[in-house]
Amino acid sequence: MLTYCKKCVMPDTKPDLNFDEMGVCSACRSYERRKEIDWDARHEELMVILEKYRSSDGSNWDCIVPVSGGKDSTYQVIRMLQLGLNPLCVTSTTCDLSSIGRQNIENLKQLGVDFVEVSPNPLVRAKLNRIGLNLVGDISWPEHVGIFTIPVRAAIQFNVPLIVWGENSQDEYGGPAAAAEDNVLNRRWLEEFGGLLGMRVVDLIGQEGIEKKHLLHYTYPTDTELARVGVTGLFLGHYLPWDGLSNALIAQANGFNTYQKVVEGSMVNYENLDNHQTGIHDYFKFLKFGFGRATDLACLHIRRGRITRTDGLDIVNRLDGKFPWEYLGKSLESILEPLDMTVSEFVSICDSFTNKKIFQRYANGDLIKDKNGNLTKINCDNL
Amino acid sequence: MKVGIIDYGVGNLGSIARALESLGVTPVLVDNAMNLHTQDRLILPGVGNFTDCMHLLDKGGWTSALREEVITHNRPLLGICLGMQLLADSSTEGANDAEHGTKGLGLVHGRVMHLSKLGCNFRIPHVGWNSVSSTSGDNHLFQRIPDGTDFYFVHSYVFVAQKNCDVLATTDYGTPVAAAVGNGLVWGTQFHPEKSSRAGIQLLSNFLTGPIC
Repeated sequence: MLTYCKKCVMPDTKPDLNFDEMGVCSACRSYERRKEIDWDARHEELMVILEKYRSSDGSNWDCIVPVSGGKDSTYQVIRMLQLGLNPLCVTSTTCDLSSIGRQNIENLKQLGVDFVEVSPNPLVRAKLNRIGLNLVGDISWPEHVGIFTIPVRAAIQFNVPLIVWGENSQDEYGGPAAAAEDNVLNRRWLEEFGGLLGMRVVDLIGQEGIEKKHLLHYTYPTDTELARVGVTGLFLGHYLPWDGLSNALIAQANGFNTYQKVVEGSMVNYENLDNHQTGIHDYFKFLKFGFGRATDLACLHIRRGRITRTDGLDIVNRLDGKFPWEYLGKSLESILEPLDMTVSEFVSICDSFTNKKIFQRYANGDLIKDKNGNLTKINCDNL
Repeated sequence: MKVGIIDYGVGNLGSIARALESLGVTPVLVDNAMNLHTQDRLILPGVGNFTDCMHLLDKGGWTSALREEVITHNRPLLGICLGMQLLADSSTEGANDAEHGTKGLGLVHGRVMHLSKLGCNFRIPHVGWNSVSSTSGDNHLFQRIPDGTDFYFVHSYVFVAQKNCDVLATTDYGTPVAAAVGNGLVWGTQFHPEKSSRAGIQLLSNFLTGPIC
């Protein structure tokens, strides 16, 4: 049985989410507290940090901005340029880049920035996708590791200490750059922030012919290297009001392309457009925890008062957690091909990761699926 | 009440601190073994590899300080995930000496070994929600938590206690797995209470309101 937040539609199976005695989740409470924030003061704090790291003589970039070309990173780059900074944008190529994702990367460059794209070996990446899916039910495991390691490695390589991240989804925290002293990122901070589901990069060496030399892009620099450059970082979402939809509007007005329809498994057309594997990633979240991308988005919009909880539930019940037959128009079969995996092998991995307590089953214990392979949750709201 | 989270150089402190804050407690991150005695209750987190963590505990003077606080001063201690495994006498994880393993804190007698060595044929690591049953009815740590409640696990190694009575709760993952251990005022949970929603918060609350000595 799932218990849902009484304000939004998030179930209590989401790890790290707490509910208070009123039955309201910690993410809703955290959003309520944001209304009390003095954003002018935060903006001033941001300016002080940026001034500290700005290259005074133009001999180097002012900061690294990790970008995907999505709505949030497009917005981040626009803001950095408005503040007069000269960022070096760094992209870690997604596992299965879509054509709209490529268009948006090209658009981001056209904002007028220097840009570096780091593309780890795709054959090794496909092995990592398969291992991640098989062992921890996360096809995107290598991508999530690379998003954090690659910009940090770039900071060392280009000798640029400040990394400007977007939103910190985990807590309300400005990032280490705000600390008056001792603000250098260390490996431990990065590992906690990165969230690796109990599978570590070193655990992969020796599996399927993977050697240490294949994993350089996925490896954090040493603490000595981090200290040499003084690598530090901040979360822009701590200093500027952060809203995915307004970021999307601003990005769109600056050339960002949205998808032609609502993205499969989602409820909007303006995010998660750059990787065909994202549908699988989100589906596994649904199997393990009973919520998918539509739930995440409905919660964000309910908190901001754009839709009611009733509307959110209706949307989630119709769109969330559908079997990922395609994503951004690419078929599941084609998405699995580089992983050397068939759809039926994929289905058995899905079943093995499904939390059977939250889905309807037959008397013999088997999961009930409709003709499209979709599951039905035992309860879609509090009873 | 002062609750200290032992900050010996591994991650996972943020989510534990946030969970305690939801109980109205502001935890202190104790980063010097000399300051352990200033806290009323201690939480030992752990992420990564047993041998690496023991190395950090030894190097920072934590091993002897923790043993003194617990054994001599009866300071209540809760180890979480790898933090629970560190309470054991030894572990084979990352050990140079595969036969004897790496020495642990020795606060709850037992050995830590890989799930596969216990005959588990399930996929390793064990990641996700799994139901936990308390082994006895009068266990303070599991008060007001119904038998069979789900908790969130992420691990590949397991604690094999020397004495059955030190196993406070079990879960099943192709083989019975110690989900919580305890000896006197030392407790450990293999699962992450800080990631386990209401039941996890209840367990942390039970630890905070538990007997002192």
